[in-house]
Amino acid sequence: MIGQGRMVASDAVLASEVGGEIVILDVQSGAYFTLDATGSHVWRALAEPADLPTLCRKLERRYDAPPETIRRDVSAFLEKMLDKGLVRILD
Amino acid sequence: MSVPEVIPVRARLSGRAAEIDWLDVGGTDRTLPFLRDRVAAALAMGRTIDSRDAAATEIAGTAPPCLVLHAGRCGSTLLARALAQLRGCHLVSEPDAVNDLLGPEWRFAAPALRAHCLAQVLAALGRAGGGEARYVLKLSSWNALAASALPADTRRIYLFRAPEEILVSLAEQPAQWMRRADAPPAAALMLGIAPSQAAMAPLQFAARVIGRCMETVANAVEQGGGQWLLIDYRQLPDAIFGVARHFDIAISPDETARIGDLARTHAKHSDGRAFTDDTARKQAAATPAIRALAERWIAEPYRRLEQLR
Repeated sequence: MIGQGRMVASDAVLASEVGGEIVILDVQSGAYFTLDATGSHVWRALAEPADLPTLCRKLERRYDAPPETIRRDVSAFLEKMLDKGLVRILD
Repeated sequence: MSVPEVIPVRARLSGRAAEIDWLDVGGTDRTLPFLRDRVAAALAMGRTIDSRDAAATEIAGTAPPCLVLHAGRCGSTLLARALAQLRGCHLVSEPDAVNDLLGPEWRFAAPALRAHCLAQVLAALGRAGGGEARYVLKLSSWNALAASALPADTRRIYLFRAPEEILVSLAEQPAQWMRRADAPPAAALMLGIAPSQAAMAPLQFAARVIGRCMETVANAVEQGGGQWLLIDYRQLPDAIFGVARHFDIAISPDETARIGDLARTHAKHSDGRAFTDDTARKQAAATPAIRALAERWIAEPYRRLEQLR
């Protein structure tokens, strides 16, 4: 569960920034994934292991939105990233 | 028994590391138009690919290659086949391993790893020339996008032709690299634009890639023109001899005759079809849509190249 541990970008994927957007390559499958501006901010924050509250606090400083909205959106984003194997839970 | 000629055939990312695939192509026809033809021939002979950790590979240095860059569909295959006829030239044509390393996937690799792998691949491809013949590397058309990653201190040519004529050819027979248009992230990485802006039709993608390539070359020529020889398609086949001179490759009388014979045949076929300037046919086939793409994305750098030529 994403609320119960620190998360980090998976070792199995590589990321590159082009035109201000993040592109992720799953090296094994050759599949590409792209992130919008908000997703790119979350991804950059995942360069170091972080738990959900830490990630949300970082985004709260950047976005003028209620904390509960940010938490809901970040949780949904991380669920998708976990599902695709782009992020992993450390502990 | 053929003399072994072990070359790199692919370069693959494997997580944060990389592997290079090697294959013995010794005994295959060196004059085949593309290196992948020799690879296919070697595989058909039962040879097997050996994958090795790229970081552990160390090839002794060879002289950097002279480079043949081109816009595609502009007579580059004829030029390559002519150069392959010369005893003083070791031609390597559009190696997949170099395409891998200059392609979008390797944008994800650590720059030092990519540079190491490219240096090793270029050295290994040149090694097969034995050091006596001039090592010439013909690149794929889109490789010009990554020209800055190639050895800087070496002679190079750029062969090109009128933009609408290239696009007519690509509309009739799309190039393999145009499939990147189906994957906007890959297209974005090639063009250096945001993925959200990279959804486009294959021919528009091609026009933007060719325009960016010509712009890259024009900038490079302006910065260090002495290394460059610019050739327009209309200068073929006579310009073949100018390329050999630029690369400092001697041509014997019998080789001159062979090149003359070759120029009279179609570069990509071996059935003796005549090679003819197809400018008029391609101009006639250029639709308003093709002309608009050419004007929007390629015309300006093309005009710069013509002025610099």
